[in-house]
Amino acid sequence: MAKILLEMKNITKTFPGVKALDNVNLQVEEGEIHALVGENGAGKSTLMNVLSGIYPYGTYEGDIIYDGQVCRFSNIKDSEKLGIVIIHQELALVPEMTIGENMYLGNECGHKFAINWNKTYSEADKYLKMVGLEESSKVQVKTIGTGKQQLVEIAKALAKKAKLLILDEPTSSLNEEDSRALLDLMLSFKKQGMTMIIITHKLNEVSYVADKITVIRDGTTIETIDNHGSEPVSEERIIKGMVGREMTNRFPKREGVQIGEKEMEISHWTVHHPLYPERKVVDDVSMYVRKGEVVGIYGLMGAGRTELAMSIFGQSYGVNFSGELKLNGKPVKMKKSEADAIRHKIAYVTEDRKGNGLVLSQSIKVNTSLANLGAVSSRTVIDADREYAVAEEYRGKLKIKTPSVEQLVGNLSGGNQQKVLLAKWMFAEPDVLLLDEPTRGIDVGAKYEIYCIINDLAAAGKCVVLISSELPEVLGMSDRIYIMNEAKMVGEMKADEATQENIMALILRSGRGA
Amino acid sequence: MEQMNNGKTRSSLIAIVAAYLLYTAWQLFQGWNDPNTTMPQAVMALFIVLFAVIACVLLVYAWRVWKNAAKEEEEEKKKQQDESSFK
Amino acid sequence: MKNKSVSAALKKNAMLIVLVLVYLFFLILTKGGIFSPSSFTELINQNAYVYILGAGMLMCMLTGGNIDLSCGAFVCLLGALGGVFMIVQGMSTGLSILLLLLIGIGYGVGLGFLIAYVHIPPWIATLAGYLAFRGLGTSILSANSVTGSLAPFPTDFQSIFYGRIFPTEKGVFNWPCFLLGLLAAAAVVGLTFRNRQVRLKKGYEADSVASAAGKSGLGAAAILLVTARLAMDGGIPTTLLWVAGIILIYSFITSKTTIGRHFYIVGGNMEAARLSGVNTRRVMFVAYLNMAVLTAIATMTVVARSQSAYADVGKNFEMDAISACVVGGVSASGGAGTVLGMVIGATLIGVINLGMSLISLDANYQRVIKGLVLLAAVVFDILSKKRGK
Repeated sequence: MAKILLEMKNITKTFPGVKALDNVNLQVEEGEIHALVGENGAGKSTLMNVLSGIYPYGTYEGDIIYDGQVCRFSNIKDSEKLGIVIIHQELALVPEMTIGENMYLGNECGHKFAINWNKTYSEADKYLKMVGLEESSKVQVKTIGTGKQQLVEIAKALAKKAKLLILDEPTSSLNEEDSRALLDLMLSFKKQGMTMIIITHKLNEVSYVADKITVIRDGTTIETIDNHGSEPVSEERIIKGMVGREMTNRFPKREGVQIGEKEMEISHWTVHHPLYPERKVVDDVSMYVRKGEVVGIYGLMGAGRTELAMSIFGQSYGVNFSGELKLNGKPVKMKKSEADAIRHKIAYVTEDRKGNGLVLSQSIKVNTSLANLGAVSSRTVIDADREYAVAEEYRGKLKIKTPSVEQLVGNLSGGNQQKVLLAKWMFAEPDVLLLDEPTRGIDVGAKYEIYCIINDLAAAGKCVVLISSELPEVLGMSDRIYIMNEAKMVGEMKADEATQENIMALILRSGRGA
Repeated sequence: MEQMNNGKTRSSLIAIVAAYLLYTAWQLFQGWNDPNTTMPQAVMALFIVLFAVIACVLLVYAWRVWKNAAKEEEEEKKKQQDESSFK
Repeated sequence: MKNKSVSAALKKNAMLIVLVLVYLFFLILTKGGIFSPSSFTELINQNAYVYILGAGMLMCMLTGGNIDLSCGAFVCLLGALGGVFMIVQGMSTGLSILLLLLIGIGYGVGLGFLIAYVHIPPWIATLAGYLAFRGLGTSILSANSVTGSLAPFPTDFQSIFYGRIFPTEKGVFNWPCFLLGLLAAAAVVGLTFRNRQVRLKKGYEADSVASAAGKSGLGAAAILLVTARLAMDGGIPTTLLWVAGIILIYSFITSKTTIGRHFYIVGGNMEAARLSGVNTRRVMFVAYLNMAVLTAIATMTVVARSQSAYADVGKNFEMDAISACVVGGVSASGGAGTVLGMVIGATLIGVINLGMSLISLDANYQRVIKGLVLLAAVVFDILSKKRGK
């Protein structure tokens, strides 16, 4: 039985009004990689902040027992002295300084007044080699890519003589290749005896590196799964622990599907790029949506789906439009105006909720009424009560987790922000909803809730266009699927005929020089 | 002060304040030989230099804030493109 | 529990506390001079333009940190034109006021069009005015007068913009003035408590009786104090009515109307506003049209007070208005800020200005202090953003 290096016993941490951690227990063996998984807001980061001393002794209940000793950290330096080093999600490097300066920021080699730079840089180079970086530590941080910057963070931690390394979502800003390299680095550290805790929501990574997986939900430890078996733990198994229900159906069943008449139809729709008017971003696309139907549009990045949706929505993107738009069977000449599109009962839910979907500095209440202020005001005077009531109504309907609708949207988690965005558009009472990547960057549990909302919208007779880059999502939610590639519509399939393989094949065949 | 979420407009306002400080320094300089003023020339010189220096610092800061905001926008766009490619 | 709410309240009202402290500071420095009745009148009359231009500047800043650099120079130009209308041409006061307003609207429409529909950045568009208008105004003045200034303005014009309501002799207690003050104070207390009752009835949270009494009590006391002092100086100045009217109107617009809400949304996230159906271009247009009209009104109060139109009028006005907004907590990047904040900022600047002139502080020191105040506000803003992150 291996030695237990860290034990966190019955940790409870409360913030005003909310219990973030409720008797959480965690045991990490020496030399293992322990994964901490859970939905956003489950308490993973809070737990690690308690461990690293960001929340000092006295602000929590329970004990931290490290290497057999009870610890009472008053700040990060105390935990670092024992070799507990945490690497946060956001890189904490100063871009203008060199790697060496960053690594030893605050504890340079030499005396207080005479920093021995030679020693600093040579020590830094030593650690850079350990993480597989060939750059010199005299290089400025901003000249190397994000992937390498993340490795510098790890080198920084090694320089602090880390024995227990905590990585909080280390691959969140890395591409696949760099993520893989980082995970392999972790495995090589393990061989050298380093103990690590990784917080992540990427389940494939968990299966790849973790020896043990602790699932946290709603501030309590749900279970600890052993990954030492002959087969790595399945994603479904982990999801079940995280979300608390069988996820054999990641997508909720559609009850009582009733598809009606064509609500919206576009024919020979062509749109040109606003900056390069010779280039077509939407090329002769024809499609239709019927009442009560969920239509998926799948395509690779740059296929033109967002451009298609935005151009339909009041010509909010693009120039030189041609083609016909029919609503309810009648041709419609749409003005270049978003307000006009809303009046025609079309809603576009952007893919970038923080960038151009929500006003982060305003409350949930203000964001909810935004697209339909007329409905909560009489002759330009806003009826504060009605606005509040509407926001409350959608809070309940969409299960937005917040103590009050006066809460600023910027403070909500990604899933809840997306719900507020949906609430705004639902309140505009559209007949057609164009959803652009509605579950991007959202944890598994919130995704399911949003799928349920989509199904409810369809059941209420609305048309839902679901633009998504997640093939399983498109397959699981749609009644019909359109496939776009390089600005053209290359295929249309009914849901029961579609598979991942034949969709991808369609795209590959239609590509240039196929 | 309320939250600020837009770096670009924030930096233009800081630049304006810097310009005003420069203008004030200029006004002081114009009154250098004025016999009516009670401010000793040494103090005047102090403030002229001080304001000019602070104004320059603010201008550099404003430029940095602008650059950071522009960089963040680029990175956000890139990150989202990356994310969607291997879902 | 009590300690927490006291310190939180302190933070929220930091500027108000600063205002009180600065006032007390000058009270000592001027040996009570700033507390004299005439000082109160002077504070209102001398500072009226800051409140009026501040309201306009607030609306512009709400849309995303945009400002108007031309308002001071435009005051000079309009003043010169007003002088020509009323003094040189002898036109009736009413007609002249109307013409000046129309010219203001004309400028606002042109400026608004350039900024909102031609997409010229506001600081460039208004910089043009800043550079051109003063020269224009000065040439008009020198073409029409030997001294380079036009005076005096007709007395009925004076009384509209620089007179007093129910005037009395100075030193004689002006009862109508004080009674109006009592009414206003009673209204503040009454409305505060009535609002509280209504909120409780509807099931919302409301302030405790103690804090409602405290807030409205302080407000009422301030009103009574001001009107009592004014009562000893001949009554309520007309400018106070203009200023109060404008403040109340814009308070209402920003907090309760859809147009006002649109300003906050455009400033908070212009793209999101556009994609939600808000006519962002119209909002920008209205912001600058509004500013021009308010500038016209401010011109009339300024010119009536100085009883003449001269070349230097309006110098620094735009910086004063911007300072009032920034000091008063209007976010330098838009999307946040209130009329009340601007009022506190403007009052603070007014008190500092008045205090400095009462102790006859050298003009150079005054300039330095004004620069330092603005700098302090910006630094405070930068620091609070850093900590907030």
